Amino acid sequence: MTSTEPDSGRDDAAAFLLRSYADGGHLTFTAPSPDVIVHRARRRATTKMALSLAAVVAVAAGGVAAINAIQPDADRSPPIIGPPSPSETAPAPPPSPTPSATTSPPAPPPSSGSRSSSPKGTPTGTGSAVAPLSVRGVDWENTTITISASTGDTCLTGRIRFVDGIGGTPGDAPHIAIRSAYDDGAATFGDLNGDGRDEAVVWASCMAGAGDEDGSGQLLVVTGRSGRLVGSWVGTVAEVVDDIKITDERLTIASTKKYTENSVERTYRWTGTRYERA
Amino acid sequence: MRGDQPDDRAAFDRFFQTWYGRVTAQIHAYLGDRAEAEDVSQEAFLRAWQRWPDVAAYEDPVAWVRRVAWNLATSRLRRLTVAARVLRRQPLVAPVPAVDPNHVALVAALRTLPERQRRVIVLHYIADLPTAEIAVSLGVAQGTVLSWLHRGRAKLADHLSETSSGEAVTS
Repeated sequence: MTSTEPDSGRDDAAAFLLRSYADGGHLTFTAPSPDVIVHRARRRATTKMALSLAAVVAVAAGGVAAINAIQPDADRSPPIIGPPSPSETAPAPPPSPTPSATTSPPAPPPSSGSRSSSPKGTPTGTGSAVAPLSVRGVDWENTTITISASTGDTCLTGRIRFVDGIGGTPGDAPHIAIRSAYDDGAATFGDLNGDGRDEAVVWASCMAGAGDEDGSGQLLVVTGRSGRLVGSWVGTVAEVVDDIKITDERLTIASTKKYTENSVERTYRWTGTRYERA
Repeated sequence: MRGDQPDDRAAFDRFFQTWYGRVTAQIHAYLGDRAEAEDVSQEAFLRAWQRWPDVAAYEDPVAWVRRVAWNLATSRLRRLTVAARVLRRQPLVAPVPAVDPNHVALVAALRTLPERQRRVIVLHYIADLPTAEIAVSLGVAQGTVLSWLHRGRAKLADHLSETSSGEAVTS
């Protein structure tokens, strides 16, 4: 048994290709901007703290929606962030209390269950309430969602118009990538706030800019109860989502930290004020 | 590598831009998938940035990044997660520069090797690590590394000669 280096100079095809790859293989990999890496690290670090903040702001947004329901003031909507395509095919939220879920299957009738038709912690409507929007049948990659709070420092908030799965301006600017599920599946539906209507759980990721192709995404719970789609982030960032279940108004997420083996199950519930680990 | 800079961020940027391609190319040769290799490599650099004051102070910071990247890559290889499919769905921001068909053939041939042989071949012939260092990092005898290298090289040569005697080695 020799302990010297093996003969690396043998003049065969393998030696040639290995040397060629060692010399030039890296040239086809272009580093993204270091900003992408730094931003992503910061987003992960801030997420834990921001999650509780997100829940609080989500409640605030819900409160605003409730107030809007009593005193229709729908044109307070902030400007839409996204490409200014007026001919958008998405079911954009209506500025008026006209039900617009025309492309959606009918929502489950609010009276079908024994639950109150008034969401927890929300004053009862006065009859002039904005009609809730069904979250079923939404084309998640082409729609507008009000994302009420960011879990990251540079993630977009406000009314985000998504076109082909990208919200905001793709390219160098921060933007959000969205799709109906972490894998290629459909969104998950179920009532999470006790109003008898389904919320949708979809997946989205805040992108720092060009070259950010990381799956540091997070689940987004979208409700249509205020007459437009409002999204709140939930759960942990940057995990492989294995399974999502909604039972008894609880959201159970089974996920695996990237590059590890063990799936962890966590359950969240809407307490009337925030999404909390149950 | 250059952690003595007062400006941590500038030092990291330089470090990242200098080494990203090489680390990614090594992981690509091992995993056989560009998107996964980029993901793994970016994750390793992200972790380096998260503890940059420590990593920058190491004698050889890129060795730290490379070790993390390889650890991530071996986990990734074991767990063929949906994450890989997810990554492929992401639109590529920059077009992939023209890839040398010879390199494509090499990566394809490497994929036919057993994992351990492929690993030591990439570490030795592409990352230029001495066999003694590879032996320490894998926790095996140096003779074992040499034997894996030898067998891997033989298989690689066989495979490449078969491929090139047939049709053109592009794909």
